[in-house]
Amino acid sequence: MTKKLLPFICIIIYACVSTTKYIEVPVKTSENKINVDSSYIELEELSTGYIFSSLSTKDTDYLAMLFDSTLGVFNLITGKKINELKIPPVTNDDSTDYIINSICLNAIDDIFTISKKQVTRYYKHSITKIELNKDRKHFLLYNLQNDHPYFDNITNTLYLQKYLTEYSQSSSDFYKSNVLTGFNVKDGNLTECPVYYSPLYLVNYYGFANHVYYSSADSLSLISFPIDPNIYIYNRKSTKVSVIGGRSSFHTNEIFALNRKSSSIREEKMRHWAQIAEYNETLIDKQNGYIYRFFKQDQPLKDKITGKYNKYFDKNITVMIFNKERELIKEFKIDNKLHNNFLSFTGNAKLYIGYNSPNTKHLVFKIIKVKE
Amino acid sequence: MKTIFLLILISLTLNNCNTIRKPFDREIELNSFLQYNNVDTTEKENKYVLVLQNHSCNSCFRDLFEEMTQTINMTPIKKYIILSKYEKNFYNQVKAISNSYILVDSLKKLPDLGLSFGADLFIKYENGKVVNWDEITNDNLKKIKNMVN
Repeated sequence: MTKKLLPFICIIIYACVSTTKYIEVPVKTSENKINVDSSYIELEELSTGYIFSSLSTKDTDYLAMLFDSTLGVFNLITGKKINELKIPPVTNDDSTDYIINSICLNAIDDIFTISKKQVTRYYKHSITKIELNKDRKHFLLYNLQNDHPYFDNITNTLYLQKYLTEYSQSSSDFYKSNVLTGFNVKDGNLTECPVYYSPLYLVNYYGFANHVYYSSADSLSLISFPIDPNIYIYNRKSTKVSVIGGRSSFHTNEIFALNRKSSSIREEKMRHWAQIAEYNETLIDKQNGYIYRFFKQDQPLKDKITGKYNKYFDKNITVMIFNKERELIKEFKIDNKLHNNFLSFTGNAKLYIGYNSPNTKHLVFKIIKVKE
Repeated sequence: MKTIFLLILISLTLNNCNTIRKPFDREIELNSFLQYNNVDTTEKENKYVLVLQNHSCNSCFRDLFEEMTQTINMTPIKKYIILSKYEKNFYNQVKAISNSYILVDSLKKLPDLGLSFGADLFIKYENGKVVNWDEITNDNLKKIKNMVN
């Protein structure tokens, strides 16, 4: 009897052992108390685009933002638009493959736009189209959540998200891929970065909460995931990955998983996403090396007091700030009705957050600065 | 022993093949919305309720919507169509559906009632009760057609 069951026992043991183990790194907190200042910048713009990229030079921060058929570049000191590109409409039969999904502001006059099949470089007065993902069968280089690619000027490499196309997002196999790949815009060669999805995704399914957030400055790229308190730091020079603890002090309830059978039921995934705590944008400041991170607190499906169903955007938001030693030095709440963390980026020792100002219809950002 | 093991294996396999479709758990809230819009939810007459979320008319939705309306147009059953907001062109398309009554959520009650689903909904009432429902997607269209026929 035992001999007959042995193969099944071996399979079960193998399945348990072969899963990559997840270890949460404890967050380091600093004893030094710090304060933050806030101010606002109003841009010369009435629309809001959700595909954008920022750039910091020695003196100034800039923002490039895509609106329908134009791409505007704004000076974040004056709020004025200093450059505008006309983006030709997509007319191709495979139009969804050429819809711009992300942009990279490498310099005021050097901008990349990225779609599934093409990278377009607007450099000074020239436009260069570079084929992307030609004949790729098993994976794609594509920013699924409109994240902000980074261009390394020394190696001519554009860093993009990578994902496997052979598997559905409800399969644990989808999450076995590395998440970041460098694409050389001169010769098309790829540099695979050894940063992978959080091991938590290999064990459980989290529906819509499977974003890959990444932010780069100089040789470092930060990668984070909504359901994982850890922050993964990839050093592109040494090719080493380090992990730091990034748990919010407001993260008190564990993030529950979904049954994989719910993967085809959008409403199940929406309800799950509306309830769970999650880590959003995790951004590195190029000037002072600080890390800013957004955390959304979990909430019940229904508000106990009002009886109304809670929506995703009802979640309370906090901003976490880590110093260069990767210690959490500050965490504070921001008003979820006024702030939009999806429109956030860093500048010179600053964090910019999209702000719904009641006083103007123009695009406004709140600027957070740490008081040293 | 072998038979028991085989039965367990078969039931596990079948269980894994099926997608969960839970009962419609917002019937009270939907009735509340309909009542607010002067719809008698206790009437025994059968009806269909469609809840259509925000749509910027993209081609994927347009094809699905056309097929959906063709399906429900074939039946004289009363249709209540809830629009999350008023969009003139879309409203006019919906108005053309036979025996239909359009309810526009101008006071934005749907989200508070938990009826802002991630997808459009088709809900079937019989004798004043919800008897079946599904999300209106390309994958579910066949099941919805079976509900209508």
